[in-house]
Formats: sequence, structure tokens, C-alpha cells
Amino acid sequence: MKKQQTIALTLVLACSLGALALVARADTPTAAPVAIGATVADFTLPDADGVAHSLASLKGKNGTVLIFIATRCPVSNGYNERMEKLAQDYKAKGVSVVGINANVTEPASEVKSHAAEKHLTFTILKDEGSKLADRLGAERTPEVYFLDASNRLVYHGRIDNAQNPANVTGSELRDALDAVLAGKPVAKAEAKAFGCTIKRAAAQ
Amino acid sequence: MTRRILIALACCAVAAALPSSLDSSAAAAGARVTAPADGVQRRAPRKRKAGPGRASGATLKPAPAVPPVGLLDAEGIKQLLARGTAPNDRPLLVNFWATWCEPCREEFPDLVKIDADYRTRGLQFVAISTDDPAEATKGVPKFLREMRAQMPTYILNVTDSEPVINSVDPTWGGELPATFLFDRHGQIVFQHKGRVNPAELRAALDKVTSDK
Repeated sequence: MKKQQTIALTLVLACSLGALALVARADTPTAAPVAIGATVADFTLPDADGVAHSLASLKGKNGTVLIFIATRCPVSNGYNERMEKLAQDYKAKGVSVVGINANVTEPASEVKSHAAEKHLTFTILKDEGSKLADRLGAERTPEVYFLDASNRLVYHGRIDNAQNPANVTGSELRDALDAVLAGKPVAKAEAKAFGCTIKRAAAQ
Repeated sequence: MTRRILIALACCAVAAALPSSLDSSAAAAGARVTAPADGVQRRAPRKRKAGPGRASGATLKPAPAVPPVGLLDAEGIKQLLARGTAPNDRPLLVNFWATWCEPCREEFPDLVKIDADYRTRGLQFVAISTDDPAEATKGVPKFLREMRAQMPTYILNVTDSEPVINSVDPTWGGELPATFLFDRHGQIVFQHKGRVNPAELRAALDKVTSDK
């Protein structure tokens, strides 16, 4: 009888902790977003295998595209092929594409299997504790931060203007990349679209 | 036999209420909307067959019909958000959601309860789905039926979501779900991105519906 009581008590405790963890999940960024023209300081995050990468080690000679992505967000998943193609198209032009998963709900093992399943070959970093997302003010997936060769933010926001690739009429990210590569100013430095909230760990 | 009569009466009552509910919700929203052409949502709820799990003699409660799902363009949003003059002189709660969005689905039962509790207290509540407009006769009404939702619901029908996002709140990035409460003058008095805390929303609703 005593054993049964102990098991029951353990179960109740486990459920309570689980409920607390659910309640503690936060969706709101804790920092002001980085402004267009501001320089993003170097950071180091692990990939899904736990290998640490710094921005300095990943950046392209002509710039770096950081994209907050998700394994379970249908909007982010709708862009998998477009993100992979973007990475391939601009690799030869000296621009790196780096994925960042800041969702507390999606563990590194899932990030790894998702990348393999969806044929994402660009580096994907795991932002445990959503610290980079907080620093940049990232709120949703997919959300892009395009840094020029000096790590200055030159474009922030959506990849293009339609979740359905058949309906795309404007590709703001590619326009920004092409402008920077041509030495021209970026015409539209910010653009918004609907996306999934980044699932943050609660602030302690 | 009595049960059949009761079901038939309930279906008739719902069918009779639907056209007026469509008209009043569109008019109340004061918005430019397009009602679905095929009228699927106007159907009376499908009768459930008594299965082995349903004991004969048990009360058979038909699922409530949901208001038809219309389409809303950028101009419609603008008209909906305009406050101050009748019929848009009430506090307005707007929830942006999608059937593919997990936290949106998770919070929806809370919103259905809030709609039921505050409708009679002068609140106008509109749910705006960002699903594909083709879902106006498919996934969206199906989900609303499951939720037993009664608030007017529209699907955004725009080629570019950015002007809509900015017209609601320039500080909003577009993440879903997102909930905005406007007072009768059109000022945002509460907003939340991500799954809303119903207690916090109710506190804001209590305040805004009691302000004169």
C-alpha cells in the first residue's frame, strides 16, 4: 500500500512539474529588436551535433543570412526548399546561409533528423535558451537577418511575400542580397509576414 | 420518436437563425467581406447516427452550427478596425490564428468561452484566420465546429500580408497567434503574441467593457 502511495505521489509531482513547464513556456521576446544598420556582435552556438560555431567562423566574405527556422512550424517547413536553394545559389557568391533553431520545444536531435529528412544542407545552430533570438529580437519562424560583410544588419524579415511558392510576387531577401552584392543600397530593408511564434523558455 | 422531433426542431431553429447571424455579423463588423459562394456553412448540422457507444434514450445534442466563414481583404480589415461610430462603437477583440498553428488551436477553447461570456457585455469579437482562402469551406469551418465556436470568423484574402499586419499594429511582426483588444475609440488596450493567458485577457475585457 505504501509503495502504491509513493508511486501515486511521484506521478502527481511529475504531472505538476510538467504542467509548470508548460505554463512556463513563453512566446514573447525579451529584448528590443536589433535595428537596421546596427552591427551584430559575434556569437557562438552549437550545431545539432554539439559542435560549436561562431558567427566569425561561418560568415561569408560578402555576408551572412541568419534564418530562424523550426522543425514543426508549417510556415517554416513551407520554405525548406526555398531556403536550401537560396543557400546553394548564394554560396558561390560569398554569402553563407545559417539556420537557427531557438524553439525550446524542438531538441537538437529533432533538428538533426529534420534537416536530414528535408535535405537541408546549410549549417543549423541550436539556440538553447533562445539567447540569440532574444538578442536579435527574433519573434517568429521563418525570420531572416541578413548581415553584410561587416556584420551590419541590412535586411530583416520575411524570405518572400507568399507561403505558397506559386503565389510569390516579391522576393525581398533575394532583392536585398542582389543589391548588396551589386554594391547598391537595399531598397526594402524590412518586410513582415505571418509565421509561427518562437517557443521560448520562460525567463527565470 | 420524441427525440427525432426534438432534433428536427433544433435543426430548424439553427437553420432559421443562420442567415440573420451572417448578416448581423457582417454588418456588425462593418467590414468588406465576401460570404462563401457555395453556402456549405449554412447547412444544418449533420445528424449523428446512434452508434454502439450511444445508449438509446440518451440525450442527443447536435453540434451547434458555426457562423459562415467569409473572406476579408485589406479594406475589410481597415473598416473592421475603424472604431467610434455605429455599428463599430464597441470594444473589439481580434484574434489572428490558423488551423496549422498549434498554440492557436490550444488557446481556441479559451477564446470560445470568452466569446460566450462577453458577447452580452458589449464586446465585438472577430476571429481572423490566415489559412488559405480555399479552407473557407473545408478545414476552418470543420475546426470551428469542433470548437463549437460562435464568433464571426473570416479568412484573410490578401496577396501580401504585410499591410494587414501593419494596419493592426505596426510593432507586430506577424507571429501567430496574436490577440488584440481595442477599446471603443480604437486604441489597443491589450495585446498578446503567442498563446494568450485567459485570466489576463479577461481582466482587460472586464475593464474595457465597463469603461463608458
